[in-house]
Amino acid sequence: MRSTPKRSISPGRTAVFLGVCATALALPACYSGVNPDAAGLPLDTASGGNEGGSDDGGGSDGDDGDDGSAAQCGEALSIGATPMRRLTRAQYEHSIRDLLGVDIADVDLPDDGNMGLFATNSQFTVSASTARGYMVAAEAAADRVALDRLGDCAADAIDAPDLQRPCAEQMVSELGGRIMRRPVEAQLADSLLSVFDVTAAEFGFEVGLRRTLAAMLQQPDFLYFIEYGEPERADGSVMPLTGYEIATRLSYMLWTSTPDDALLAAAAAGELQTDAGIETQVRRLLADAKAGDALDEFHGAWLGAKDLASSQKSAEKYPQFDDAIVAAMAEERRRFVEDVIGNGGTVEDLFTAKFTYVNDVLADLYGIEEQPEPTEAWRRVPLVDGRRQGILTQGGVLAAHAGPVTTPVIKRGRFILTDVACEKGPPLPPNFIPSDPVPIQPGLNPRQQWEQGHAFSEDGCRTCHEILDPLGWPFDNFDAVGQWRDTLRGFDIDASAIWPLQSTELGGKEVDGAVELTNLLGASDQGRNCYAKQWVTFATDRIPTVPGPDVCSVEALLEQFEQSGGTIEDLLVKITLSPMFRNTPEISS
Amino acid sequence: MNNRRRTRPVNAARYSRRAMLAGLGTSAALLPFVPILETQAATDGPTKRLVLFFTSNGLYRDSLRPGSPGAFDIDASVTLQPLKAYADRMLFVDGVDFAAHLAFAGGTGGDHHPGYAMCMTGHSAVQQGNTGSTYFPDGPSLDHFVANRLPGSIPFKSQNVGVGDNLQYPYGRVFWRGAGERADVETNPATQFDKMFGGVDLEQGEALALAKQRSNVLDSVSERLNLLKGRLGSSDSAKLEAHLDGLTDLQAQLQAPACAPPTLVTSADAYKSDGEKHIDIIAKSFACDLTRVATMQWDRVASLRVFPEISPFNHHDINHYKSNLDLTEEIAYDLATQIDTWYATRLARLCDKLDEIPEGDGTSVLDNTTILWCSEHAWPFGHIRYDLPYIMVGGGGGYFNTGQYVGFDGANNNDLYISLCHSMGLTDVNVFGHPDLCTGPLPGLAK
Repeated sequence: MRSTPKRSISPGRTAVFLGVCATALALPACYSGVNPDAAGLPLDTASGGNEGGSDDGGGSDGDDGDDGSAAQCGEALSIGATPMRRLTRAQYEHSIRDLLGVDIADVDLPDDGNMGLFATNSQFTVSASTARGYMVAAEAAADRVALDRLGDCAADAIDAPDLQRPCAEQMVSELGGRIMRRPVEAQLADSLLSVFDVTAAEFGFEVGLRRTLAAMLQQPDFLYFIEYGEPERADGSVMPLTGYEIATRLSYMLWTSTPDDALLAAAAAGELQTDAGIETQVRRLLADAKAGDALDEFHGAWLGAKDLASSQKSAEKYPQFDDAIVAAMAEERRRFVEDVIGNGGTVEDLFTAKFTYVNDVLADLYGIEEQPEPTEAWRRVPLVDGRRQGILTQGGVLAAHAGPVTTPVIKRGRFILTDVACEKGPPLPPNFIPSDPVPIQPGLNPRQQWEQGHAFSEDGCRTCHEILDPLGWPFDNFDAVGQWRDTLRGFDIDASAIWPLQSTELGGKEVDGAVELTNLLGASDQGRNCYAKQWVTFATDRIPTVPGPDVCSVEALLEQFEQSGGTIEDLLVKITLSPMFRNTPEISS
Repeated sequence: MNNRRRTRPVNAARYSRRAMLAGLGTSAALLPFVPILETQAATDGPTKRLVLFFTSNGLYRDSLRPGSPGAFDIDASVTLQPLKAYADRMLFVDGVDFAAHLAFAGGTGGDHHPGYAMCMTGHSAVQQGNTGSTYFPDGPSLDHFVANRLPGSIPFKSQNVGVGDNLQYPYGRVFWRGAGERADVETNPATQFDKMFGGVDLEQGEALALAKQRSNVLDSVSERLNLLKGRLGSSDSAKLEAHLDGLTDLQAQLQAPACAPPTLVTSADAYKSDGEKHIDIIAKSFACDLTRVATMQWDRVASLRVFPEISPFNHHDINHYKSNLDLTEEIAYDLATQIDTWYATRLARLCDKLDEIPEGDGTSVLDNTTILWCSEHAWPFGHIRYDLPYIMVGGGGGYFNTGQYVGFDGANNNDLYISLCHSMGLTDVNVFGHPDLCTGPLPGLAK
């Protein structure tokens, strides 16, 4: 039997890990280096980021000079690269719904990857298994679609052989153009029509048509967002996206679905090359019911509440937490977000609005007085008890960041700090051994017990807990399913907290309870800017890092947002007008 | 390494249409089980197979250990009692370190996430951007490493299945196709069934028609991918190249011979029921030689699974009974033992199914298979990455000296994985995962 040196850790590598941790903890500046703009600090890394991201020192003027960012941030425009990505499951499902009027929710689509908090498929490549998933989904859609959705010629052509080839050509051109989100290239049309010819010759017209549709739905032009840009309009290392590519970004950002005919027509007419043209389309898309899907997708993912399931809670402790209440929590969020944004609400409104939507089960959970005669299942109710306000005190969010039985404060604290305030938490120390729990001292309340064992402990635990825990305490009046409680294990709740990380805008601020915390967030630059940056990632499928090529665009965006009326709708318009949304770096091969 | 299937052109003729149609000519129930491997067994020795059976959150060693090093005694193990019938084909290996984690991410404490990328790959891992909980390894996991090196054209290189609906997240999986490439884990048994046995319910003519139509469609897609990849930058072009490889593999799978499917039974407990269905599918796919390497991941890492018959608390909270629950140590240890035993019972079913399948030479498929049961932690109650226990069941085609308890004092798990490569006939493998962590097969395991 061989004896290998015990715990043969490579000292060099371990030191690197510990070094990262120690640096981050010892030097708060490290946090501001990650997100200085979130903290409202001078963006002193901006010029470096710009230089670093720009290959071309030619100093040409930015062609989007009307937004003012180029002047502050240097001459050359630099743009981060969004890696080529595939449709997500939600995007695929919604696209099939809107293109064909077909529901394929029962079909097992390939799994999603992520970018930050949001579903994105830019990392993993297509394997045989993924390709099979797309094949099966395309076949299901093609088999289920009504014949007339393939073209108004289809029904007549069934019994009229002369009309069949022209009808297939019409489908490839018209439906194909909608599927590919741009006019179908000749090579692709030929390839698709040869599928039709071979298949129809052996199996008949309708089978040929449906298999050709299945082929269209498996083409890379449909499955991927392919962005060639317009090289002839390139400026330095940056190219504008084509109108069709902007249309695609707009519709998947604001609808989680494919562009409609009006948006494609605007692209064809060149309207998406102008600010006014884009703004008109953004406001039109947001007014459409389909915007609810995208707003829901964004807020559900940002708040970590999208995948809440009744199985996550102890059935013994919370028997009321069933599928109905999970569905109600999602519906509350959807209605609330649509109300706030649709009525010109700001980020502050999102955090502090004193109303919500409930049905009977939620009204019960929240302890909201029943209406004398409820006339409909869902109703908009004022929040008047001073316990809840805004989106962060909704049951779905509170339950998503809690355990099955208990409410470990680190879950809610980390969520607020990193996802809502965009501060970078400490990396977990790799090499500490958790100590035994501190014996419970008589008379200590649950908060004191927790802090003794975690944030105030003398071992490695505190390095993370003293930063990640505090912002959870203001939510301690809410149990693991979001119900109000005044006491815990017989002790009064202490919901006071001091914002950790003294270097940031909010650092050192004191709050007591969730209402005060959400007031603080709502009134802060940090809360507003973090929300905006989460939208930037959602809209562009990339995370603007500092330093990085998008720094100037982000800085300009946040400034414009601050100076505007601050409505969320205005934010979404400004993101789509930003150079980082409308351009792509030149292809390097 | 020669014989890397990835680089070989797919020989479609190997799975002749005649073979497929012969199978489709009769109804599924009447299909004779065709022991495809009998002829190969005669010439090349036994066909060997590998199953990586992964359960989350570590195994509780005190209940698990069957005796002590050199003194194997199945009755000394509480956890392994369901596997008692397989004691003589079991090899218990103890005292192995999770070497990559020790080298690259620290040994104890810390969170689960780097371990997901490292535990079955033996590799270093890269943290992705701002997404703190996502790590991608620098190489494939053992299943893909082995599958890519096995000679011959196997329709499904590595069959990766998962149990539990929470495995879709990128950070919850331990099996990887390659550097930065997550394996596609299928959790839905119905989808997996269709993948392995699709078309068996079709009439001969329908199956032929479907195959033709699909082939036309996929050819068109391949043509387009080939064209577009020339227009894009290198990283985007590489994605389309990988997509093309995927389509090539898919085309070969669609040509695979028909295989008599298992009869799947649904029971009330979805987790157990889905797991057992996946087990039955794996067994049948081995019987038909659709695949020789399979992985089965039970729930995402840091599993939050609740076993209602054991406890209302979830697995991960039971492990953190000190901070997350108000449980005593004794109760937590007992609950962990019960959960491990629950998984051992499922593992016994897999052994039963494989042992029921006769090979041509009087042995069973289990005799020529190695099932490795492993986890990402050494111990459920503290995220410890040294002294891991590994349970191997099956004869490994005669490679392993079974019925033993082999103890090490800190061997690298990379070397254990190299032993498994050798058991699969890949005797020229001396590096798996990170080269600095490898010395060669572990001593004392082979006959």
